[in-house]
Amino acid sequence: MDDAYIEMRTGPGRGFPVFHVVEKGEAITLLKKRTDWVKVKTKRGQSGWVYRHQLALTLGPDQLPVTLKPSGRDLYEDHSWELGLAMGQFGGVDSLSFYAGHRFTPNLQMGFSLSQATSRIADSKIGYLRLQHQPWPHWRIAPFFELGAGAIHSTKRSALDQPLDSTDASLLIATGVNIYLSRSFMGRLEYNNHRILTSRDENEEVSEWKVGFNVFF
Amino acid sequence: MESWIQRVLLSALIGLPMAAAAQDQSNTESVLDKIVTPDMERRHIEEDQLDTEDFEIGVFYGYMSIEDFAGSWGPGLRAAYHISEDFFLEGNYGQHTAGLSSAEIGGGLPSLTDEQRQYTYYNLNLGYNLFPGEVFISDDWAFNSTFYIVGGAGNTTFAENQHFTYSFGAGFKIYFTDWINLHIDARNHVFERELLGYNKKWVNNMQANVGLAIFF
Repeated sequence: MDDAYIEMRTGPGRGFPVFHVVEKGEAITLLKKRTDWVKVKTKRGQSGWVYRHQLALTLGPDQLPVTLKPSGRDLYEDHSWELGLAMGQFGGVDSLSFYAGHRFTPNLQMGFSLSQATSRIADSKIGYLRLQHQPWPHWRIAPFFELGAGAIHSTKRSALDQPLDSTDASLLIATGVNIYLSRSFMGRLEYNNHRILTSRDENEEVSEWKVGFNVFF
Repeated sequence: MESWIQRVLLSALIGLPMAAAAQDQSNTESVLDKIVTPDMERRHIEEDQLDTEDFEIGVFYGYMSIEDFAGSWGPGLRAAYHISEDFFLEGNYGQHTAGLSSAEIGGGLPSLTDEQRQYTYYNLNLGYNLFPGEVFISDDWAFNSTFYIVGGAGNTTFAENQHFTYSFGAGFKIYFTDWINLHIDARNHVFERELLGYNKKWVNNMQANVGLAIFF
């Protein structure tokens, strides 16, 4: 401990009460982390949660402060994982998507998306493996280009048409922007062009607009 | 300081020309180092080395009141990622079986088959922890607790039809330890439904659940 004192709370959040104060010079053991809070244990065996920034005022065995991970805008430029939700219009039908991705380099990210688009007469479930390239990853508003390959399962029920129930391979070309919002949120606006390789004579092309957000860590 | 000494030593090793003064200093220091410093690895601590516990997984069981039908009890699965102390992302999946509707009993509607009575849903929501705090039970128990709200969208399969569904709700969570918790919540599932070609309308399906979850 190198600060005058740090406050220990009963839970990992600023809304939980402070119940103990660790004084300067006292040794603490770091147990685990949840969001921005670290669970610590004192020499006397009391455990509680301290805010992560206070670790920068805590010296390790080598007499140097604990190295903190980047956060906020710095983390946006230097994150490795993304999770996100988006809503959109898939060929005029309401769609909902989930995305998870891993960033290998600042420019290159690989991930998968699962979507479902539902209307009164048709339902499509779509899964893609996607590769995303960001030419300018340090920009607050960063454009990206994406290619994907996957499958689409569609069912159609209507009195007029033949009922349809098929699974086809599908290719994806997408472009859009990531917008850093604050903390670990970024907004995402994208246009997806799906090429569905049907077993019929001609391939189908569907356009999709999506708006959503990703969290990064 | 340490790293400076190491650098000096290293550059001395690979024979880089050094300023004479620095060389003197490094020589004396390296000799001193050998005498004074015990053979002990001094560990540097980084935040990255800490085990993080931002994911939560759990089960719940609850009652859903399905509009126009008798309600039913059903189980569900829940997974969440905690973005910060305030926000979390969550996904839910659950199943219910609709009971009889008054229209089926009184005639007018053909009966649904057992398969069509299956009500399965999933949703993806953004949640916000509203009132973190503590609850006290008797004199010597205090548990952390929080009230939360969620909102999002998903999909419902009912009467062999898919429906784009909006979901929102609120709940209360009590932590027995810092990694296991019990939650009680109420949610509403809203979608536009057309039953066997009749009766197109927006329906509200209210749900009350109790669940257990663990952080990992």
